[in-house]
Amino acid sequence: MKSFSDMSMTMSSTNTPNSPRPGDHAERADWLRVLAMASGSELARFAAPVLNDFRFEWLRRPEQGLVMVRARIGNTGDRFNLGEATVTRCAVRHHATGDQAVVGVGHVMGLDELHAERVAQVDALLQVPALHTLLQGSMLRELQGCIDERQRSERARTAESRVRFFTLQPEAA
Amino acid sequence: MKAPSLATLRRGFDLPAQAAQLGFRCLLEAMARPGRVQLLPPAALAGLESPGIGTGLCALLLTLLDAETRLHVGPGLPRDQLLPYLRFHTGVRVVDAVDDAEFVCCAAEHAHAPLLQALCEGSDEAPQRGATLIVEAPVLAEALPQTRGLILRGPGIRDTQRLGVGGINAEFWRARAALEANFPRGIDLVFCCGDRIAALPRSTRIELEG
Repeated sequence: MKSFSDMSMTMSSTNTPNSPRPGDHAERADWLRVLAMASGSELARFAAPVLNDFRFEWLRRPEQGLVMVRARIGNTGDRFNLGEATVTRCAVRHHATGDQAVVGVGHVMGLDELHAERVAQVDALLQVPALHTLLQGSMLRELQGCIDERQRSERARTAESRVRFFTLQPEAA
Repeated sequence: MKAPSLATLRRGFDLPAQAAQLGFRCLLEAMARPGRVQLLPPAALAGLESPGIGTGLCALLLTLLDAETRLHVGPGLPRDQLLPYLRFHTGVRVVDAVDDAEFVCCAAEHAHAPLLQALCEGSDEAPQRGATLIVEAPVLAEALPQTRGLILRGPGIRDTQRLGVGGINAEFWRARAALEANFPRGIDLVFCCGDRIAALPRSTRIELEG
C-alpha cells in the first residue's frame, strides 16, 4: 500500500472542533470532521438518498494509503510517531446551476471507499449556497447526533471499569 | 504564491492505472525505437483535461511522476496552471534548481543549449540518475519538409532513422551531440506534439541534416 507522503496527521487529546481557523475553513473543517467520524452505515442512511439526485465526476478516484500518525508526549512534549493508519481519500467535482463548479474532498480513516466517496460528495454539495442550509439541518445535525450517541454509550461502557487510584489507601508500612 | 482553488483544477486520467500503463508502454516503444513517432492510444488520454499543455505531454507527466520524483518546469509552459495540477494528481515534488530534477519539461522554443547542459547527467557509477528532458514541440515528424532534420544512428535503429522536431535550434542539437562522448552518462530526450511522442535516448548518435 502506498504511503500518502503529501499528507500528515497529528493527534491531539484536546479535541477542539471549534478552534479558530482563518476564514470559512473552520466551518468546512467542522463538517468534514462530522462526515468522516460518522460511520459508513450512518452516511448511507442519511446521505445516500440525497446524493442520488446529483451528478458528480471524479477528480481523484478513491485511493487507499497509509498516513503516519504523530502525537506529542503528554500532549505538549516531543513529537513521536504513533503508527501508521490506513486512510482512503478521493475528490469529486459537481457542476451546480449556473456552471459553477464545486470540488468536494473526502478523507476517512480505514478502507471504506464508499464512505470516502459520500463524504466528498456531501462536502461538494455543502459548498453550494442554495443547498447548504438544507443539508446542514437535515443531514449534518442527524449525523452529529449519531456520533454523540455513539460516544456517550462508549463512555458509559468504559466508565463501568474505571478505577480511581487516588481513592486507594496506601498500605501501612 | 496563493494556493489556487480546487474548483478550478482540471481532471486527470479517467482510469489512472490503465491509462498510465498504456502511456508507459508507448514511451517504452518510443525509447526502444529512437526517432520513430509513436501515437498515444485514445485510452491513454481518456478523461484528460490538460492544463494548458498538449495532451501527450500531460499524459506522459501523469504517467512518469509520483511523490518520489523531482520535476523542474522550464520556460514556455503555463506554470500557474500546471504545478497545482501535477501536485494534486501525482504528488510530485517541484524543484527550482534544474540540476536537482529527474524530470524537466519545457517548450521547444525555450529548449536551449544551456538548459540541456545544466541538467544532471548522472555519474559513471549511477548513470540511471541522468535526467529526462520532455519537450513540447509544435511539429514532430519523421521527415519534415523545409526543416533541417536529424539523422539518427545507434541501438534500436537498423541503419539510420530521420526525425524532425520543430522549434529547436541547431545549437541545442550540437550540445546534445557533445554529450554523446559522456555515455553512459547523459540526458534522455522525449518530444511530444499533441498525442504523438518520439524519444531520443542518450545512446542515440545524432547528426544534423544538410
